[in-house]
Amino acid sequence: MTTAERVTRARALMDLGRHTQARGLLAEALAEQPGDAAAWSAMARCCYRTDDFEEALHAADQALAHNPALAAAWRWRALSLAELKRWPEAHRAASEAIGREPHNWSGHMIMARGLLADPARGGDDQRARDAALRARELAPHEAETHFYAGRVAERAGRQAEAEACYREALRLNPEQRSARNQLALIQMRRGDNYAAAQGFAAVAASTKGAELGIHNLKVVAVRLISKARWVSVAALVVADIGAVAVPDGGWAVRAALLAVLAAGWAVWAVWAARQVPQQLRGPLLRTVRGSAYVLLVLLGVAAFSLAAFVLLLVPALARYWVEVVFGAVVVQLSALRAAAVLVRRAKQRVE
Amino acid sequence: MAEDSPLIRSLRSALEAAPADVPLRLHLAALLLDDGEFEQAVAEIAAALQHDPGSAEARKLMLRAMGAPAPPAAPPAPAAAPPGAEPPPEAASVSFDWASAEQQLSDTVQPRFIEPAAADGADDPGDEPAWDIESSQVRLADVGGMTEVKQRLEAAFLAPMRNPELRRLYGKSLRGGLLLYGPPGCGKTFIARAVAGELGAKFLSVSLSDILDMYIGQSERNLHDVFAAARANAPCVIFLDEIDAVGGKRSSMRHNAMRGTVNQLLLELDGAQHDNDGVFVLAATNSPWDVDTALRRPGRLDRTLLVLPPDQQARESVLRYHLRDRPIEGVDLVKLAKKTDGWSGADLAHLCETAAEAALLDSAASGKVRMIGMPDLLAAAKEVRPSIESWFTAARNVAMFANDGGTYDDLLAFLKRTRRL
Ligand SMILES: Nc1ncnc2c1ncn2[C@@H]1O[C@H](COP(=O)(O)OP(=O)(O)O)[C@@H](O)[C@H]1O
Ligand SMILES: [Mg+2]
Repeated sequence: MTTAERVTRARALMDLGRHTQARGLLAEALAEQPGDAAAWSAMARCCYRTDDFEEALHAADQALAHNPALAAAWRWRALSLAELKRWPEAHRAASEAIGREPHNWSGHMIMARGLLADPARGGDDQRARDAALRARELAPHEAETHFYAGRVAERAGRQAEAEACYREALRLNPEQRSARNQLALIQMRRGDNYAAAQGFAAVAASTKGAELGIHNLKVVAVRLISKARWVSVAALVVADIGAVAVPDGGWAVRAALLAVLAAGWAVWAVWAARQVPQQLRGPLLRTVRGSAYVLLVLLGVAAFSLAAFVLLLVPALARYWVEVVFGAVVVQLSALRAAAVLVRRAKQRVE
Repeated sequence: MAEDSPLIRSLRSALEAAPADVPLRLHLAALLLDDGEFEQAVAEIAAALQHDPGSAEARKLMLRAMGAPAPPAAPPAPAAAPPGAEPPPEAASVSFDWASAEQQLSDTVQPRFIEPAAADGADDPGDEPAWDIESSQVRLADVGGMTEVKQRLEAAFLAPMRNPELRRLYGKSLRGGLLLYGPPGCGKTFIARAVAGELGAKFLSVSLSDILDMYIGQSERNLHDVFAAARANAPCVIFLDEIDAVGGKRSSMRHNAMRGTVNQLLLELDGAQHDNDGVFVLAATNSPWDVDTALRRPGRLDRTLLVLPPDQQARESVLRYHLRDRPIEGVDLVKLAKKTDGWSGADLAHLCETAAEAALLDSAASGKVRMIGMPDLLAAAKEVRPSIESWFTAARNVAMFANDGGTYDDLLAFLKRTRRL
């Protein structure tokens, strides 16, 4: 096999999703011809696709050392640098790629992608918008270009437009994980937990999307649980009134109040279950069960209900109802505070 | 150690991906020798020899690494050194002679395996399975364990292939193919070869490299020809290995030439223009979730069969197979199989290689030939990391969040049984 044949074969293998095999072939090709810029560029693609960004950058640089005009290598360099969070260099590499091939949509898309991900920029970034829209103009049949157009719109606060872009991206490529996730986030914010859960589950089941999808599913769970805080507060009011009105004995009254309390939670449980597609209820419960912050939120939300239970079951505590309520407040605040810290950490890890 | 050159680095990473690539490994070894990294070079050569013990190139490099001048146009198997031959002055290991070492080892009289006392005497002693994968001499009986998979294959393919009456009766319900799926290296391709061994010419196999050839236009043959041949040869089984490569739903493939191949496959599976009677389709993939949903519709690849990591019995046969030609002594297969629960067949192969490599290096270093023993294997078992957990992580998420229509119920059951869920 000649070097060129090896590279062709490796490219085909990458198209078929066989990156490890492709890498072997490319290494052979490069062993034969260490100065082959096209082979190095293919190697950059291969490493990038297997999340080996340092090696991808190295390969892209090798390609450029042998042929600085190779736009594809500039694009792999830009993408790798962005993954390594070397933003200014990433933007420069994207510019180089665009300068060499102004009509190639992926250069513009990579530029938009880098600018959007750069934490030093953010907000309504004119450059990012121009790049994203130019990419879409050049390649309206590519799902990814619609995704970045959507990101730009979302940044500028145009939710409806963003949603339309994500839907278009998903129409073109139902497997587009990022568009699915972003659409589900919009749906969640709008209060459509059902659609959001479905979207996040699809993300969780996709290649490389597990962590993100599962994290976002937990966020949906937290939102459902936090709705129970009304039940919880109502329970405490009921219990207080009961405890104060019937300070000693009155078990019938207490039992009735307990039943009301339980019914409140039951109503919540039915409501929450119906917010989630049936086939996802079991998996979601299983996911949530092992999550410290979801359990903390549950504890925080349920603190008032627990106080109510205690007051109703232990008549002797009725005199101390102020202290019990105070205790519940303390439990709630600390549990929610701790949960917030954990959520933030988990989110950073996912990002 | 000096900083590796970029070329050496990329060769190393390539070898991680393709550890069995002997020419590539020898190329790396030669470069290391050029750089004066003798120890590393020897390790690479030893590894290459594990994969291809007959490689003349490897022997030549080994001699070079150990200081002897490479023999001119090295004959593949030099005769053993005469007893009085003077060793070259530098080091004892210089004179290490692979051919005579192998000779010595194959003459061994030690017991190779520690055989457990036959509990019921049901097994014929001494009938070692003849595993010859390449020429598909493998039979279903040779495949260790996997009882359920074998039963399903028997019912879905072998019985109807043998019995025309059965085909006539069950004609309708035999439509549609069977998709084997499971973690890599657990015997999907292997068991398909066993089916091939049962069926001989009645088995047509399409591998990834065939698909690759079709894809880059290096082969005139296409899927239509394969199906045509199967119809002409009916009853016949077509095996489509690594089907996710043809029928993948990756975004990178949506616009490229592969789309045509997928459509072709759909057409052939539906048998719209042809009569598919007596054509059975068997497919395999590590990632069924990457297979185009259109391919999974009723009448196409609508039945799935999970191929799990080998159980105790299967692990024993896999280990036996991979140690069959190696110089071993006192190997307790039962114990080793117990220690490797949750390993794939490929992991077990890797384990045997690692142990052999250690013993070989040891022999080369001391200049004294020694056998591969239980300590080598146990040490290797500590070193080698079983590779399939990452598959289960991915599979778990799919089974939990995308189990539409109960496709992955058997996988879920297995995950629960093994406490992975
Ligand atoms: N049940 C088994 N019995 C014997 N050997 C096996 C078994 N399972 C796996 N192997 C060994 O593992 C190797 C890799 O299996 P392979 O069929 O290529 O895996 P897959 O196709 O599932 O990725 C085979 O070549 C064979 O040597
Ligand atoms: Mg296989």
